[in-house]
Amino acid sequence: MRKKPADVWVYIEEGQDGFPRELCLRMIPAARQIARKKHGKVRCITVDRNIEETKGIGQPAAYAAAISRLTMTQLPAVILFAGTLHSQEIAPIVAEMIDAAFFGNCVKVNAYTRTGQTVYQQISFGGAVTVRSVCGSGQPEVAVIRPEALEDQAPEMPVCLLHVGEEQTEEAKRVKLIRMQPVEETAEMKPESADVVVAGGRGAEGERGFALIRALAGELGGAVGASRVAVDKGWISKDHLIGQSGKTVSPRLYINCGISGSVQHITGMRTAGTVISINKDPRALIFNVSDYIVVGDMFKILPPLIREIKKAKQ
Amino acid sequence: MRILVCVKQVPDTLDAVFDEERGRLKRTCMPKTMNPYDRCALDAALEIKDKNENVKITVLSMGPKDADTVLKDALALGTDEAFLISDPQLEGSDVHGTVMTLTGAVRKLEDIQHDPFDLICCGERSVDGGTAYVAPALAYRLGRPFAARVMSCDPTDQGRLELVREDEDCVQWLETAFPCVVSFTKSDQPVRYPSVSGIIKAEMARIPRLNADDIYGTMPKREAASVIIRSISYHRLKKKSRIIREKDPEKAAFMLADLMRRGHLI
Repeated sequence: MRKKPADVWVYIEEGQDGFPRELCLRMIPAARQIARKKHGKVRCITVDRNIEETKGIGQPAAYAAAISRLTMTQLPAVILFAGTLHSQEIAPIVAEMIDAAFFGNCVKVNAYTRTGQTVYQQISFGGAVTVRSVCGSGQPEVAVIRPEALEDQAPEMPVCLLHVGEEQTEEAKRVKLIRMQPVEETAEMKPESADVVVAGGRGAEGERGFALIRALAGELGGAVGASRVAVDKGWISKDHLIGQSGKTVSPRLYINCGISGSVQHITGMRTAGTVISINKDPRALIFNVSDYIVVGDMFKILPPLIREIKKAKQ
Repeated sequence: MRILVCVKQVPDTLDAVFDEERGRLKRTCMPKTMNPYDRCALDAALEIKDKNENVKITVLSMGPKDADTVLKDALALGTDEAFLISDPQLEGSDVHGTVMTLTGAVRKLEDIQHDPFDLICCGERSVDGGTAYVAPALAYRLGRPFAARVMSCDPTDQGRLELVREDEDCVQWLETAFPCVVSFTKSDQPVRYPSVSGIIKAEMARIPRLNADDIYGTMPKREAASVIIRSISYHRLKKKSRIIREKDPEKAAFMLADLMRRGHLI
């Protein structure tokens, strides 16, 4: 009889630079805790990109096939994925392939001390609902952990990576990469790790608005964020996008200017400490989740506000 | 060229999500709309139809009976036909169940028309559940190539599809063979509005319904994963806020700076 599965696997993704992605490594402390309660081990799995034709594309099925083949010989109890874009594509396919119970959008994963059963805390409706659940059968479990729920730093201790080769699938063969353009790293402060974020949206109207937003962020020692509209219009790069398809931020202070507050945007900032919203529209949805609201024009309010803050700092 | 667009009906706003007295979601009285990411998928399909001849767009949704409103919206925008999968037996499907039902429905529609869909367009994720499960899993179940988070796509003269997609730290240009499944994250296209004739056509349309028997026939339905919910909690997202309504921007800025100072935010 197969031994009752109790190991916890952590999928470690390889970044474009060839190194393990840090966000994935940050799942390891949680994985260790769960594994201890299950009397199992933690294994870090990485998939090598070894197929010439698909190099760089990462056809998710090819990665998922490699992972699920590994489960045939050593079935884990839990496979954890970090909520990166790439991992989010692979996890569902792995779950389908190995007939696992799937837990997406997890903000917390731990296990009962007595039974070793894993408990998943998932959010939905943009954070309005939290569900705590467990898997009731002996099925393997696949979970995706949201980036903001991970430890702040990857563990310092060395990690042993179990390498498996990417598995060529018929589907993967039919996709070809034509070209790729890396998104350039900037020296600017990243909103996801900043203590203060000042963000702009449609109401920033363009680069002039973002110049003011940058000035305010600079004065507060913070980073610049943006809504989808501002990114789509090309006023600021995608690195600054806050929301469901961008970064999730939890700064101590979040100031937003001219952002109406779609559900997607609110998902990305609802865990922020104090929220200050400046918007001309008195019915802006973002006001629902704001501590301080200024109904007015950001172009008129930001210059004196920057002056006042300068004064206060002296 | 035949395109299938999968759309989901979702609650419209953060408002009214929460029933304070009974401590649960007020799903029935929440305004509903088409999932915005699915709308991007739909816009991309309509864009292909605008630029190419002989494109037929089918729209598919799964949900309660009133989910036909999102299909009517899609018809009003210029799609050709719509189907709704609706059956009390399928209520409360988990993500696996939804994928199996959609896979079955796609096969069924392809059987009826003796022709596979060249392209299946989905939204990257829904704004309610938001797990981004369905599109990649559907591609896997159908055994078709998949590209996630596509921003724009264009059929080439060589009968392939050229795609631009975003990844964690790069933008990629890909080419894929048909048939394939693509999930969309946004479109650069301006928002489309339905024409008057489109609205009339959609109003008149009777949307055919597929039930569990149509899709699964005698095949056993896949069992849902046995997930046991231990607790559900609802958070009021709404905060008690201080509003500054001062008309004079100088004074408003001063008041805000003062509040920030007192809150030790400066």
